[in-house]
Amino acid sequence: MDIETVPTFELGDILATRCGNTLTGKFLTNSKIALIAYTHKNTNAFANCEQPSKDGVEDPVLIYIAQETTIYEEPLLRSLLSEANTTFNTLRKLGKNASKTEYINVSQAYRSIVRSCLEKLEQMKTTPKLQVDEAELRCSSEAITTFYAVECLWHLFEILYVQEQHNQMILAQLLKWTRFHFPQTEAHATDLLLMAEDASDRDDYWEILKTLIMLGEVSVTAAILTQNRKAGRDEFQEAISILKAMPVFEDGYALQKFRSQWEYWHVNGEHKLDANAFAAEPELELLMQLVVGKNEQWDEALCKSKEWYEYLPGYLLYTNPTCKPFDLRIAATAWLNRWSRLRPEWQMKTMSRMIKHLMAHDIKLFLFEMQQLNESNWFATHLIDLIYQSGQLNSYCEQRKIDLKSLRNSTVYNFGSFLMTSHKLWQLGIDYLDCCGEEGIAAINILLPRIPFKTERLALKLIAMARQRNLFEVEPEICKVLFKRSYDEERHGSALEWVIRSKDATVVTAMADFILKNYSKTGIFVCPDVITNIGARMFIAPRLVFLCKYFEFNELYRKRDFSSATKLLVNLLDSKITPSYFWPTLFIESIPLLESKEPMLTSKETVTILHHLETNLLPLIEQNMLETAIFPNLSSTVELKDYRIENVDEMVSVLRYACARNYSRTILKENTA
Amino acid sequence: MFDVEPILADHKDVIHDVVFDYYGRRMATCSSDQTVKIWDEDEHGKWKVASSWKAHSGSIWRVSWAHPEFGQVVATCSFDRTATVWEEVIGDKVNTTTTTVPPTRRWVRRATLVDSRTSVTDVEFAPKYLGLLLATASADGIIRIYEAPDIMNLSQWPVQHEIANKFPLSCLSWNTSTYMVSQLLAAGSDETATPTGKVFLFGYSENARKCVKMETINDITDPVTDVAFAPNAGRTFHMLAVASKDLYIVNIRGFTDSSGNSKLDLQTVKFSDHNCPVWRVCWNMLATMLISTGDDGCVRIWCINYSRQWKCAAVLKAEGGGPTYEPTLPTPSLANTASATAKFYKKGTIGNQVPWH
Repeated sequence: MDIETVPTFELGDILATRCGNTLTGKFLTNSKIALIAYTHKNTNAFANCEQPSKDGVEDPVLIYIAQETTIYEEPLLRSLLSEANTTFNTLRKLGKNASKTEYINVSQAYRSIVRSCLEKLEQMKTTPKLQVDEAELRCSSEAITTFYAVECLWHLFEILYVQEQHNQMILAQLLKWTRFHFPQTEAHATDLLLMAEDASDRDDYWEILKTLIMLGEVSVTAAILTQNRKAGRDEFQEAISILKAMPVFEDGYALQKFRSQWEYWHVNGEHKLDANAFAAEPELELLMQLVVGKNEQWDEALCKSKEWYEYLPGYLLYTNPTCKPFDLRIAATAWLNRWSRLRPEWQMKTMSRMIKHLMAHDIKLFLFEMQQLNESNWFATHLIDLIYQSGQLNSYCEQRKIDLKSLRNSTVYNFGSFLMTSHKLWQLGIDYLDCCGEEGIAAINILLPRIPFKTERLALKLIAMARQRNLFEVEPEICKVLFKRSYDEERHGSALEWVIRSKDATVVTAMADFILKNYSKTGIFVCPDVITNIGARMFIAPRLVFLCKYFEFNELYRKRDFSSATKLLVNLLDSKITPSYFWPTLFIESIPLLESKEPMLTSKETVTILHHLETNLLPLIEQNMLETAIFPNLSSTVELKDYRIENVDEMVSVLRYACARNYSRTILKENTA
Repeated sequence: MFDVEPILADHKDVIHDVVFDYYGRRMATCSSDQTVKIWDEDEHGKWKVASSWKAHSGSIWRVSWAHPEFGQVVATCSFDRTATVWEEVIGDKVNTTTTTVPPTRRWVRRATLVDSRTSVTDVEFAPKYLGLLLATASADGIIRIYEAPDIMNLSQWPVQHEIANKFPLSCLSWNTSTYMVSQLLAAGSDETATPTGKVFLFGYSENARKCVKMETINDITDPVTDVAFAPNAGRTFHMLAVASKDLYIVNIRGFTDSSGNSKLDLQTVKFSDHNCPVWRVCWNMLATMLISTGDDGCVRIWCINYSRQWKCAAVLKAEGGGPTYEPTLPTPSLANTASATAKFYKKGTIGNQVPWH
């Protein structure tokens, strides 16, 4: 296979050209590339010297965002993508064991999607908006060109490789195909029929008839001829009868019988010509010479045709009507040689070449060229997938050492990731990646959390999609991003909700710390509603448990349910989950309970309070003092603050006093009872 | 074919690094003019400067974005021997009568990491599974790994690990995948005098309880200017791109030896297409494409084909006659239809297709 030269693009950046001609590039998350001028600086070179560049540069510094040209900006083509996606999923469900008819249906479904899209594009081209918007007009024209080609090639592929023809008779289909793709002549024929007798006067009358014959439109030609002014003459009658007598192969015919009938008809035609039956009407004679396949006349007519394959099926109709795919291979090559000989100046274009590959059964080259088209591999992906699923070309691929499975996976994977990284198209992409095995799922795992989401609704959708695929890392990640966003925007309730949903203990602890510290400073809980409803989810992190329990204590206290509040407070003191910065607040809460008229705390509980004061808070205070003495500016010490006190030491003495008082009165009471 | 949109960067000197955030909607640039700029992409795909500030008192070599779950955080490193962590904060809310005005955002310095005594050549945030960590490489050959213990307060960045090397370091890269090996970090040196391996791989050793050098890639003895681990979409091995005298892709397999230590198995592949030193490398999101920057003035775009071979798919050149982005290929014309003003482009081969050989 010929090695293709690597395409080269020139940017023409002045700065880059001036500074050593160097350019560097970075990928964005999608297939875009950012390009900048680059100067290399060696680590050693700048280790000792002063600033590497002093005054800056004179040339403008530019960043280029380069993007591979895509035609899917157009909304109509987006609908093509989404419809194709549906068909792709249908085929995926069919799998590899469906019947031939089902594969043909799929193939036709793809083609009809393209057809209807082309129609819509054509319509759009005539709208006033596009008449003024040149860029968009160019864009849609380009899309039409591309997808027209796609449809044409797909159609031919379908005839030759998807459908199973009865007796492998493909000619009728091929004729349909050419008529379909060279539709002007048919339009002209309609005109002629409508004009009836007057048509005979038209200058292009015979030209049109010639083209009709070369496209194999035998009966239409006959119909037009019957309307001719001179239709009554013998020459015309003879010609019409020959055309009408032409045997047409139909299902159920015995091939041998058809052949001999056709041979008879053919020889009869030649005889008539040899007998100069049409000599009086040279134009009619030429027509009949084409019908019997006279090479001289065909060569002459060929010089005026537009594409090499345009009249090939027509020619086959008059020379080899039982042509099979295998014959077509030889016929196509011979025909192409003939055409090239007749038109030495002619250059083979991509599409003509691809048609040749198809007819010559050169699928490998066809597949290769297909991947070079500028429609981001829509065609290649869907057709290769169809080939793979239907298994039609398995033996060919084996023979030519094409690893069809990896080829199919790689095109589907690339197409899926292209869609998934494209703005607005990502939802379509995910279906393609879904059927690329583990690699596809891994790709979704990387790409899904990177879909930029502005709304929580979209975030929830992403989470749901990740869950469907058992991608468990995506949900916590998205939740934490939402947490951080809400937190930065001071929407604390939402922040707390998301962080709990993330189930990440570290971040949950950080958020609980924030709420508790904020409470110590201000006496206000930032989001009481959310805290109330945490429930069993609090067990994600001990700090969250502490927050919930402390909040509960607060609620009980507010509702003046002092006995329950007291129990909870003692539990909290004893719980070993109290964050050190929160000790002062917790002790302050106990002071009014110790000082209340009716004793709330038992002597034992009072001892517990004292115990925690001595073993937990006091060492902290001491340590803080020590550290401040050594490093006066160090801020790593635990802040022991509460909005109700100015200084911790003062609180400690008040608390000790309160404990002593409560202990004395309760121990008396308890022991006398 | 490419659509190219030039943006006037308004940097007063060459840009050393362009880095995109996690979603690809924000861009950070840093330059020798000692400034950092943050750009936002609007709905129409236009890039606008959101913030620009003087960040260092020397050339800024590299910039790195933290994962968005830590907020909007970037780190920069500079010739001025420091690395700095910046965070975007929402300014004071505008009064409620004008609620339509979005709150202003600005970038504040959260921490300056001053441990290096030489130019800090590279900085990169660690993959998020490790927490909020960042690594710096410097010309004195030391890799420092810093950690922010409190993600709600980014002013504290104690050094967690310090790994000294014999050679000045020019670049580093974290491996984001944890398959068979965790906390893998690669660093390269552009030292020219010694003909020994220039790429080093570090990992966390359970036994030593610290980051240690696991391997030196001895196949690459020329100065190394950039290293980049590929994102891992389901591969069982890791890929490291190395910019040196040539472009290298090192395939790294993690395994555990009989005594339970994790080891690395290395396989180096060399690509000599540039035929001159390669300065920078960059992977795309799924590691199906690779960009290499060469001293030949070319940016090469490499694609992996369906049989897993790397092929150069396109070349972008600095020089040229200005913004004529049409390829020089003939644009073949298509069969005419009733409607078509038929042109059928053979596109310049870049993008989602796999070159077919």
